[in-house]
Amino acid sequence: MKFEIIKENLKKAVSICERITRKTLSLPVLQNVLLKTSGNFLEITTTNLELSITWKILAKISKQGSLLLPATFLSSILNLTSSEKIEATEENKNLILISENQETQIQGHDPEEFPIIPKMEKEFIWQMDSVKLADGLGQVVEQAAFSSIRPEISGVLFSFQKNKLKIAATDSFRLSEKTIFLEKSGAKDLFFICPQQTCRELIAVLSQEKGVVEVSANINQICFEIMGDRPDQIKCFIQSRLIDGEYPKYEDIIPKQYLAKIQINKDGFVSQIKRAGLFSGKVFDVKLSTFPNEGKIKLFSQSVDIGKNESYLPCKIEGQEQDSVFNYKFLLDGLNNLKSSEVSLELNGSDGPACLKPIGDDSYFYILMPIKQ
Amino acid sequence: MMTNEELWQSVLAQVQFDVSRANFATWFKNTKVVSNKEGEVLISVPNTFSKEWLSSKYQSLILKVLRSCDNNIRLISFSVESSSTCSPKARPQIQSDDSMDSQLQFLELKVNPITNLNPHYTFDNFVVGSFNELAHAASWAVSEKPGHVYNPLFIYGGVGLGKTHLLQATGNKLSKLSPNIKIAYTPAERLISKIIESIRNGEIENLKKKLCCLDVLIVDDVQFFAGKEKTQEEFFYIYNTLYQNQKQIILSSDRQPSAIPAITERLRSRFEGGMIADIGCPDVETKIAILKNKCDERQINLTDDILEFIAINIQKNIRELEGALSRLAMYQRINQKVPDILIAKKLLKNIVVAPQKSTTFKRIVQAVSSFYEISQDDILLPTRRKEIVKPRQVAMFLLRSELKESYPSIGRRFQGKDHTTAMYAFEKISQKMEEDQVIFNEINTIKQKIYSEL
Repeated sequence: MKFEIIKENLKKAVSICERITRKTLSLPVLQNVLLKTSGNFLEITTTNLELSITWKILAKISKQGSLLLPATFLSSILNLTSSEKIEATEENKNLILISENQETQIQGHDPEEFPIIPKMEKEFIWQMDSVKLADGLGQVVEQAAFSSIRPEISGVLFSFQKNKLKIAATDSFRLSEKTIFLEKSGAKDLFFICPQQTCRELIAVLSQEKGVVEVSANINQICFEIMGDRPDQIKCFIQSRLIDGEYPKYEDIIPKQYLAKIQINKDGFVSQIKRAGLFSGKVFDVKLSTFPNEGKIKLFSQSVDIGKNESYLPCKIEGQEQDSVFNYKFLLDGLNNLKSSEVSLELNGSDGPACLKPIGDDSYFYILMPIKQ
Repeated sequence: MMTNEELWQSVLAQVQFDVSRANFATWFKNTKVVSNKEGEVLISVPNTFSKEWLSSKYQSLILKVLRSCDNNIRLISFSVESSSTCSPKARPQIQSDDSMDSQLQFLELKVNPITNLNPHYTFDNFVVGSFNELAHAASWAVSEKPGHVYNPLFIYGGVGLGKTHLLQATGNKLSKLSPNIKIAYTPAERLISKIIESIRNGEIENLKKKLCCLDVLIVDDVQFFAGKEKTQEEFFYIYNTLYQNQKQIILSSDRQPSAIPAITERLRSRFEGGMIADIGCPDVETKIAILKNKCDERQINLTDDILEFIAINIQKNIRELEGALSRLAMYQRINQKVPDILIAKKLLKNIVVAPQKSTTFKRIVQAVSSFYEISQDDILLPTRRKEIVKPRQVAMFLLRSELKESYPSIGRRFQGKDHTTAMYAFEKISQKMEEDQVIFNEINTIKQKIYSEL
């Protein structure tokens, strides 16, 4: 194998691949990336047996071949290489990297050891804008449950309905949903549950590469393909297993009414919640009370060891007087997912779900349950 | 001939020497031989990676070992088996850690998404008394032998008396006894909206197909079918298909089939074709038993005199009992002490006294007219039309019995009827209530309507 390549492209690909190799301990070979030439492209592949990422970078290839290299090590080397172009040659399972004034030899492994990435049959295909997808996923991905007890909510729901894609996640304490409008409707309405890690990696990749994302799926796999517009742009494929199971019918959770509704400036609200959070007890409880007649809300928190805090915030408010206690971290998570400067919060008393929405954007909501008083 | 298990063991025994340990552990984990038919061995693997790896790297090795065990084997193939089918519904109860104890969860998520059953409702936490004995026994029998004993099972009774509990408990027991049974629980309203939606999308056949292949269909609150003709038609078809295939159907309603207005005769007669069981109002002893049960569940200690006080003073409905208990539990949590009878009386004052005072003339007229499906104005007309006369008499009866209004004032409310008319109505209904179970139940249902929708 022999090729010449632009360093920046190689570095970008390897650094993202490296993220998933760090977490695999069972099979040592998974800590490597596979470098393989294919026509005029260099393919860089990594997998943890749940998801695999493949980058395709345009390169000047003079001899075809393939090699396994330790991912973390390669990434560090590339980070410390300053030249723009790299020449790489494989000799006896060693990769020799030649750049300006530098020559490095890295010991590699037999590429035969590397898992074979399953070929996927694309049954259903949708296309969307990468920025929209990345932003939307970022707003829900962290609400998926960590536990493996209920696998179906440990992932993010992708629900395609005509020209809409709804993505949702819940950990049974809170739930968020984002609607993305597609330019072209898919052939069929479908939904599937994508593992949380896959979504995180996808966000990382999309932050590097912008363009059109093609999403394709079959019964047990999903593939995200990021296609560049220019021929020299990097192409990336993320292929992942899907979580088997039936996603809960969360529509029933969405509250249809409220006892009180407030509209408030986000930044002011966030800083007061953070302040109240400093005084919260061991369940991170902060009490939010509404005073519609005076047009304000009160945040109250108290801890035996620390002291107590009370703050009033003026806001637009309708409905009745009521109290709810929230885990302030959950409240902050929700507020941080909102992009608008003004937000609305609908409250349903001490044991009903509250709903956060950005003002002027109907495509997102965040529901959270209060803490029992 | 070796069993599939032995066959695969002999393969693993050989392969472990030819493969590195890490590889062996990764690729051969959760693999097994599923079938061995006509020289073709099907091997199940947990994921597509294993499939690719085994079929491209170890196919010949595996085949060699298999052939040494059984000479007839010529071919092996691999299939990916999803994790859920490998480990059947072994889903432990969710244990939240202590710090999350008070954080409330979305209750809806505990509902099984396939059957729509809430695992909280079981026969174990259902208290049986004379008022619901029959319904309980019938449900129990159905859960033991679905489709054969009582089909359909029709349970009716007032608001908050445990119909849904019984229905869900039956479903839960069925799915526990035979995990592969296909059950669906649906409130009638949801079924209606599903049918409407699928008609709009032109997918009604799919929906019908899906429902018709069920083993058990449970529909709650079928009185909502009233007046929905298209829904009734589709439901009739589903019902017939299931019934003919001896699949169990369980229905509930707030009144008996003959009292549900505006459903087609053919559907009504089918509802009446199986077992009809009613749930009445619980007696005081049963109410105390229920309260004790709930106390255990919530781990609160209340003295017997408090429980008795609640049981006697909360008349109608079990949901209200629960409300009363919640109040006391809250008190206990906040003040860290068990409430005594005086405190309990004070805490429950509003609940106990409220119902009697909260009724009004308007409320009664509203409840009566909506029950008999006539307009609120019609009931006040001085007409002798048969469909109006009875509701009017019932309304007069309730005004007298619930509001203690004088006969002349009742008469005046109905556009200047004579006070004797009101007296006659009161006596007639009182008498009928003693003689006729149907009227008795109707009045009770209306009363519940009046008091429950606060």
